[in-house]
Amino acid sequence: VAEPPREITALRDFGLELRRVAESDAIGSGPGVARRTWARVALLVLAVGALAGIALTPPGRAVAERVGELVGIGEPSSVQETNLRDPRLTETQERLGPALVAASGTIPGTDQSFEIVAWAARQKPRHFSPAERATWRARLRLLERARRDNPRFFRKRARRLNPGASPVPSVAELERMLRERTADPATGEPQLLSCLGIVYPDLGSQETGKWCAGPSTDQVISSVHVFGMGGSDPRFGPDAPYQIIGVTKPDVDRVEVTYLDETGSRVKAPVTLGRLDGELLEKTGAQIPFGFFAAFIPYDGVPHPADALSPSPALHSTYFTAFDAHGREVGHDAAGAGYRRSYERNARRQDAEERLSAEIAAAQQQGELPLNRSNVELCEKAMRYVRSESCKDLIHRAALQDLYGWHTGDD
Amino acid sequence: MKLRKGRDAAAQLASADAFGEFYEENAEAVVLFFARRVLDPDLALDLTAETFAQALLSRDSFRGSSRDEARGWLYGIARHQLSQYWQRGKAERRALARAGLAPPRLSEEDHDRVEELAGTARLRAAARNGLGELSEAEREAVRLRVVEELSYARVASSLAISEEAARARVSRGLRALAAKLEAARAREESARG
Repeated sequence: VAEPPREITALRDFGLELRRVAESDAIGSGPGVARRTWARVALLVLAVGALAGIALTPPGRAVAERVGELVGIGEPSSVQETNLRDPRLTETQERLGPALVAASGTIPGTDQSFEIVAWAARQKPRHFSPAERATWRARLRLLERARRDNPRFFRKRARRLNPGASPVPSVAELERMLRERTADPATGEPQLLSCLGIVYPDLGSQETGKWCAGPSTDQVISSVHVFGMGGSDPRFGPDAPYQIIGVTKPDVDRVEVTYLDETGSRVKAPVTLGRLDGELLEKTGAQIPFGFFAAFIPYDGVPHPADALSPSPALHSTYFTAFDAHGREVGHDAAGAGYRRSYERNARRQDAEERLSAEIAAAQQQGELPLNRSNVELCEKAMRYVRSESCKDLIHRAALQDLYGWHTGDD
Repeated sequence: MKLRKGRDAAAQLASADAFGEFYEENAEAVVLFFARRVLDPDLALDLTAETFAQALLSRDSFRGSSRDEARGWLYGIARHQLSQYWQRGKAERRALARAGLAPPRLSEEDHDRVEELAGTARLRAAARNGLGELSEAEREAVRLRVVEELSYARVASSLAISEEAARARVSRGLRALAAKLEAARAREESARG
């Protein structure tokens, strides 16, 4: 007969006390009675000092912390709820298991800790909501018109919808294409994904970047995500660095992140590198292994993207280089060029949004857009850039009355 | 644990019975979480008690709706406690005092049990052995960076190598050490069945 597992009696007794307090709700208040436990720190240092044969030195604490970090991988992250609550994720993806710590560290030069967390997810079978169907119908209608009037625009947009297809698809066909794109090619079932995010436990449920991959990712460095932390959340502080998180093929051994500092010298940023594979991959329930890296680039004083659309010199000069176990370069990427284009495109888009929003506001009478050809055409243009309830309503009214080429019939 | 998926999960955590069950399900894991980090069972128990006292006091703020979320929330408090401990060199007892709870004490047998479950003795041995198995160059680089807490620039100048090489050496050493510790932990877990 197997011996029953021994209980930790102090834990059991404390649990009983805890339950008693919870039942009585006798929660008092008063000053803390924390006492300095230098004796314990000394014990810790003694214990950990053995690690390197060097005892009784304050830096021993760092060793213990490092050991703790190393063995802490694979435990549940302190931030679990964010992804479940993020509508952008829950609309399209479904998390299948807990988010586990895949790596952790501290932002260089600060005591702000971060965790890189990993979890398994699955694409949700995609169906359009009635609002999405209306929006897509408007977009496809624009496309149909562009085929006649603006072939260049048509070629560019039609390729994105369905490479090689010249007829504009119907909404129903589009839904089918979308389902096929998000399905596993082997099984036809919704695709399984491996996901990665970075969280800041001290700040609560803060998540500032995430990435999910299906089986088709084959780039050495993919999905580099650069984020101006100070522009997104004041809790990071005005001088918060740029956060970079990237994904690599699982066999990448080292990643270098370099940028130009204020003097124009190329500087290497400290990099946290890890892999989602083996036991950790199994624990998350994910199936696709990958490598990842995180780095932080000091803030350069340029307004953050969320505050202003100015390009940042630090980001423009950032390069990522991946090496294999033999020190050979196996891939590289540059954040700079992509970000410059992105800024410019964003600026143009913002201009269009502002102009069209102003035109819609000016055309409104008592909160509603009068139903006429000019407003319908304005809304057709605006729906490429702006989510306007007035425009949706106007198009709906036009369709109900079968005016200006709009109709309610399903595709 | 009887937490159900749905809106009433937070309310269930707020009831004394559910909180008691939540404690029973997680207490041992949390004490081992701390023990593997601070390598001291008494201190681990102090931190565990403060963590659960904090959880009890702030259970109204828990907004999750699943078992994973509740556990994640608890580990968030635990990590905060650990970070406070590293910064201040002492375990907080504010929440214990506010809740009117006495700090628990480990008996000698409990102490041994926590050490056994956390495998701290073996972890220390594994780390020592792991360090011993590193190349001399890597061991020295790890010692200078992690134990002496020197900057990479100073590690590089002490070893008469470039800063890049120093970073690579420390990184390789720590990674090798991590693999050995991870293997030791896996052996521990499989031995426990």
